[in-house]
Amino acid sequence: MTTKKIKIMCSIAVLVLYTVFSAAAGEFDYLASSFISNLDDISDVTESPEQHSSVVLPKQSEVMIVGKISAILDEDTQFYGKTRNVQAGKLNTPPVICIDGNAGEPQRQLYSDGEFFFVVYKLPRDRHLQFESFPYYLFADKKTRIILPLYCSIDVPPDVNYVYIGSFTYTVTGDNFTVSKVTSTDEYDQAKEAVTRLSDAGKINLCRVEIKDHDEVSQPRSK
Amino acid sequence: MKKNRLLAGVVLVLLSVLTGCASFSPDVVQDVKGTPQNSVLVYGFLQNTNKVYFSQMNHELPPDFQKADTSGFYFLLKPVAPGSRYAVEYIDVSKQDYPNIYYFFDFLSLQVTILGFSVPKKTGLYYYGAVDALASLKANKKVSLAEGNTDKERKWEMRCLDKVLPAYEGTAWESTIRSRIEELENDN
Repeated sequence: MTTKKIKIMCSIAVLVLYTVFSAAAGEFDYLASSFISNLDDISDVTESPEQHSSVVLPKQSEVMIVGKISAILDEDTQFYGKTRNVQAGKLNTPPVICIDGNAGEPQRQLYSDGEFFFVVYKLPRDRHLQFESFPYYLFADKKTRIILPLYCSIDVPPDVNYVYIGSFTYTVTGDNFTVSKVTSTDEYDQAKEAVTRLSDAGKINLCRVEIKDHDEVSQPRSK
Repeated sequence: MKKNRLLAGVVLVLLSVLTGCASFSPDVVQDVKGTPQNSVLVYGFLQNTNKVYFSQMNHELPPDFQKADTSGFYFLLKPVAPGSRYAVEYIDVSKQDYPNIYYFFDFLSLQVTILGFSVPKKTGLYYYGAVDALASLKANKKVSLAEGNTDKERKWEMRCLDKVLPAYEGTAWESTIRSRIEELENDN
């Protein structure tokens, strides 16, 4: 088969695919449904019990970030659960926060509101980490997700593998779920106690660090 | 070579037939309770959108979740409460821009309002507009296909109503829809 023929066949394949997608827009809705049959099936925010209970401690080239996130909402969340079609049986499910580290091993990602999180990240050469935002799922459902911005960065001191970044409380107001206020409190002692309970590795050097504005690191950094 | 071109042509024709002839499902009007006297019928065009689900966000009114009836990117909701406010909860969009196909489907956060709309307090019809969904999601603002041109807007609404009318023929909405079509024709 010549290259030209292959190109033409590829074009036809693309057109056929497009036809399928376009058809899914109309009365042939079952085609789209074959991709996702029921949104409830993909809206649950869960992780396996093994992953949820896994404790990953940082290696030499990694850092464990310890912190806490809580949200105070002034809206009637039940209303939003119902209007977003969250299944009735889930309307008493507490919210979850998803924080995913990037260290090699699978680690726990889901935390409750007000629970200390322990997330392991690979340390870049300059030991500089930046955080953007976390999804907060009311009723542990993707249909009722709120994005909580953090937008900060830290420099991890040399020889430090455990960092406490603070306990953050978000005030979320109005029916557009605007984050109107973020406060940070120091719960270092409780954080240290919690991280020490994670393993019997002995003394853990949990450090506080300066929290910098995210904008400060948007400039190219020297290696 | 000629055979392949012919096949490509056939596919293109098939594509236009499939998208052009699609119509709203007759089921859409079967359990409609709202009338032009107590509710608002919302319709519009969301380019590249295969599926779109809306939820009512005004907590002073009852909750409401709607899987919009879509037909070749035209969409239609069951009559909604005047003064309500809807946000997109889930959207499924795709666009072929040879040689790439862009495909996006996800739940949008409760904070995303770009593709939502506020329903007027006046009962009757509400035209959402003709909007490029994918471009809007990229630009984080509603991107109108009419580009602010009144004549283009009128033509888009006419196209939408041509789809809406057959779905509501024989119901309390028919005369309201016909009146609006006439009004738009007279504006021409």
